[in-house]
Amino acid sequence: MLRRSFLQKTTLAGAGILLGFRPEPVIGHGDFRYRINTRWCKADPGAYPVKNCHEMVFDRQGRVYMTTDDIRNNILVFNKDGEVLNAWGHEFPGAHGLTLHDEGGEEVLYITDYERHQVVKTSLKGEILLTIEWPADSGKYKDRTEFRPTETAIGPDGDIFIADGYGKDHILRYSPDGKLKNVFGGADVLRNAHGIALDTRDDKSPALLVSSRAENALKRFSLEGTLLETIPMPGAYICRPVVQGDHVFFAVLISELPWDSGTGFVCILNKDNRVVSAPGGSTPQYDPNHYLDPLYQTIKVFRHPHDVLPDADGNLFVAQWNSGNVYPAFLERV
Amino acid sequence: MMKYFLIFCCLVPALVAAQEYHLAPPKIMPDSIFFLQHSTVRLAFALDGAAIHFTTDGSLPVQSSPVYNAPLSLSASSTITAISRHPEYITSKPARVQMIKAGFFPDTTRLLVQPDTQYTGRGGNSLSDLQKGGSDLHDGRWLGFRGDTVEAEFVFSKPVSCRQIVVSTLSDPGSWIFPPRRIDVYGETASGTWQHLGNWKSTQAYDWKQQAVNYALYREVEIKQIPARRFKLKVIPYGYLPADHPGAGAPAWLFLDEVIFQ
Repeated sequence: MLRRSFLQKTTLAGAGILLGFRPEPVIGHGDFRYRINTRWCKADPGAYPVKNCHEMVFDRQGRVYMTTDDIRNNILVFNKDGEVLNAWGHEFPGAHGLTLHDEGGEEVLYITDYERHQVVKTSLKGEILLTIEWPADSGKYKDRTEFRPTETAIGPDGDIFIADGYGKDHILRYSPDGKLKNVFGGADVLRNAHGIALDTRDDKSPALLVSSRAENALKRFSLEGTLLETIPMPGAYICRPVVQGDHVFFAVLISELPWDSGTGFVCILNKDNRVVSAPGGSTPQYDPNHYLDPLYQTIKVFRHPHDVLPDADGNLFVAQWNSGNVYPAFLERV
Repeated sequence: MMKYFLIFCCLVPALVAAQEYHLAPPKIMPDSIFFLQHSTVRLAFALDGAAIHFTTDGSLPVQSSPVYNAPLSLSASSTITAISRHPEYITSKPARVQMIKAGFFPDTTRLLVQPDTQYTGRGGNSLSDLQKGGSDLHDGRWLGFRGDTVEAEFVFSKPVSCRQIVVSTLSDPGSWIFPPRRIDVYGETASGTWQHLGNWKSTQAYDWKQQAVNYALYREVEIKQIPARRFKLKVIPYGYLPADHPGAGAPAWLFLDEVIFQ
């Protein structure tokens, strides 16, 4: 058996070389180049179906958790080789944002559900620990249906920041036990506040990084809600920023309207918020005044990327919305 | 063994060949889609090793078509069609932009029917500013009408003799925006009477489910050439949304952003 497998492999490889076998292409720019692997995930779609693959996080053990709005398994858990380890959740028709927080040893998940108009905190196995309902007492909402949260970020003190990206574009700050403390942002400042992250790149003053997706911009807010900076990203409909080390990663859902134009790619910013690579997108170019030329898709690797998950080795996992029920792709850094 | 090896050689390309990816079409970026004298067009596709091939007559570019290397200067109406090519990827679908040269430019444009209050643009000026509306319908360049027949009057400083009028509209059936059903053009004769100069009407049933969003839908109305200082345009909207549309029975929207006299 072993010998046959070895023979098959060596014959395949030999024949591949003879026939001019080409590996998967490499995409990206500068130091951030990746070999595409769309076959990373080994899941059987019959057993573990997905509709939209929304967001992904790692737990401490390197397992990948992903939200999908298929209520047959709202959360899929993969190992690094793309095999399904666990699947749970049948009650989240609008399962979207996914954030993992380490509560002093205990890891928990925050799931936003824009269909249920709620944010739900669960254990890694799916036990519900806290439910945050629509902010009736904020005075900003007529009824629960106006609250359609897309994302959460957890502050340094455990406060929960919720981005109401499909609702009224407010950022709502809650205490760890779910008490509303502050509301900022809103449609005057944010257009489709789809994602939010704790920006830890300046460890002396952590801030919030929020995507104003329809405006093609990232906005930095203080934890108290003061707008500190607008970072224009022309051509980039940014889903959510993901901060790792000195860099920010994000999926660009589309680079031109309409929303199902299939023109997405991935982006990486350096510490100065300059685009250093756009896998699947145009080579980032800045004019002499440091304005970014509009970005656009160049290679149709992705249709509508919705989230990027960088691993410790610098590889990326990319989940997609409305892209033919595909599982996440793997981009191996080269 | 040799036999199996040969079988493998035939199978291998299908089994392990890298997935092939399409290129996206290049970007076509005109100074102005509508113009009086000339317009400059830049093409862009920022991918190492890629080339843009283009034509200006609306035909599909091929490998032997010119390679873009500098901005194009146009002095006549043209349809720019461009593709991206790269040795490692499948050639893109074409990108296409129709550039329209105006022969005459009105002094004043007056709306005889007012647009919906959500989409007032800059009033009549929106139809005569050589500005193309974009995908943001609130960009101030679009006028949106809901159900009414649109009437507008165009006044020139001296009599002009036009052969064609181009009405720039859009179609986005999913957002209840349909193209017009009929357009009529009238001109004021030397004796001060209005004469019907021509019309355009849709000749095919409009299958809204098959229509992509199109922000640059041009309706060309050939007209009788008489010198006139004043022209009147009547644009009849689609009417009520069809029975299989989610908004069935409600009036379709009509959007206009420019009227060009050639």
